[in-house]
Amino acid sequence: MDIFSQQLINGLTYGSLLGFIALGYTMVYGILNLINFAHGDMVTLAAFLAITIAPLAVAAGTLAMIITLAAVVVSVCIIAILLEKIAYKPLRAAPRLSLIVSALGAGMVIKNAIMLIWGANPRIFPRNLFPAGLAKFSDISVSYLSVIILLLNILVMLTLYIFINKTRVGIAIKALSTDYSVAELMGVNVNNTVMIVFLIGGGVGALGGMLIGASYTTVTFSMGFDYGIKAFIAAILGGIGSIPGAMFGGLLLGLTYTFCSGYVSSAWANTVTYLLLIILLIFRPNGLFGRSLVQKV
Amino acid sequence: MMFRINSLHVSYGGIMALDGVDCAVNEGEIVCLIGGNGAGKSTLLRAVSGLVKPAGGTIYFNNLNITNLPPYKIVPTGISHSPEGRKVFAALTVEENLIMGAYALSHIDYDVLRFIYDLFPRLKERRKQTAGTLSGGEQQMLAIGRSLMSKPKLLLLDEPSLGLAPLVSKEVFSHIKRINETQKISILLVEQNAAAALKLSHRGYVLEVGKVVLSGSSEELFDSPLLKESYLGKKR
Repeated sequence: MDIFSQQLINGLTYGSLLGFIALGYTMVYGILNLINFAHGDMVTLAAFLAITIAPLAVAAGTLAMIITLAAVVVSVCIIAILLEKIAYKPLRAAPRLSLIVSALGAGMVIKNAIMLIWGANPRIFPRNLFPAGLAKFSDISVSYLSVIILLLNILVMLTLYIFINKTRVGIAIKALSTDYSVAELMGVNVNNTVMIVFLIGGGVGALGGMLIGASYTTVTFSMGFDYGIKAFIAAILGGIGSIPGAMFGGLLLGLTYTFCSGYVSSAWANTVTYLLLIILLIFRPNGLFGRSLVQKV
Repeated sequence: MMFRINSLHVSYGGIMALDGVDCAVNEGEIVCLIGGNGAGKSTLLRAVSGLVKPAGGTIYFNNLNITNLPPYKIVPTGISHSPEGRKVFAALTVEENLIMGAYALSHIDYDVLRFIYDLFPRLKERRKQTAGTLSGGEQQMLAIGRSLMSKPKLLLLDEPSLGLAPLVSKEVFSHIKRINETQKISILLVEQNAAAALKLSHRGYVLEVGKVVLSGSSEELFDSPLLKESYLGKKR
């Protein structure tokens, strides 16, 4: 397999992982104008929960993988909802800065809880959670994990697209992210809608956390920061508040980073990537899918 | 009495915005609230629709105490609020905006949609256009149309003439009158243009710093010295 297609697949895989996390940032920002800095740590939490749950589920045999994935996703969804209820909801009418401080604090609480429960040393992610090995497409071979990640990315994108545009709750999310108080006046139940947004962001982020664990084989309690920041940048690149933007922003960042490491040098990858991103934002300040606010008043 | 407010108090961070307001709207009536900036007119509407929590007092609508209900429970009782500054969903099309207005109902009533398109033919012409591209007057008509989609019995209109040319304002007021007459929808109207508001409405209240200082039929208010001096700009 030539280097180009190898890099392409790596980039798409990495980008999809970032996209899974970016989704949570962008959806919460869209509705509450809040950068949920605790999100990266929720993603880490998912990976560590999988470390604990996977051995317990082994008894279930072939279903172990599904049971672990479901248990982790459900747990993280519940924790995400609790996070919103405890750390954000009481501050909804407060200045945005207070909310950001609360988000940073919540992130530290989660991160330190992970360290206290699972320890400060890197942990090996369970190898049996996703199928190992290579899939062959004519002369190109791709790991099963990459195939799973890419398929999940497409699945999540399509599901969310349909959910947001065709369901009642989806329309409420769209309305709330356009104009919070007017959506309220239309009869949108704000508390329920916000809860659903945290649930979706947490669930997809949890999936991302486990896939990161499987891709890089070890996880650390502090990894949420690096992935969180990169995913946050992906969300901004795509246009914060835009759901397809989060996914495509992730892919763009992943591809740029991977091609820079492949063709320039891995030491320079971050520098070159972010230089290109800054240039892109200079020309498209609202990101790829950001709303251009044409509004007559 | 279809709609009644008793001794309503609202405070923003310790500052009283409404200080014991009584007000009522009968079935089929247009009632206006007149007053300067900061008198509490918009606050009153926001308290009725549940956007702000009152510090005291009660709001009754059709014998139902709606005082502390959240907005999503108030809309289905038959109260619809068209906010100040129109606030249409700029990125959505005209028709999507109208459909959003029916969110509180379990289904879209196409008879109401047809009525709105009959009332505002320009909205029908532009139904596929995004709302942000409409003129100010058209956006106001869209905002009113959107608030009709939830089939209200009481319509709260906040400054429908704000920022519109006099001719366009006049057109908007005539539409409001038609909605009231043909659909039997009661209207609580907030307006800075006191003369136009009184001409349109049956009764009115004058608010000053959170209190009702004068109320009565529109004719009475039109002739009152206070209105003449402070709001109608006429010399005695």
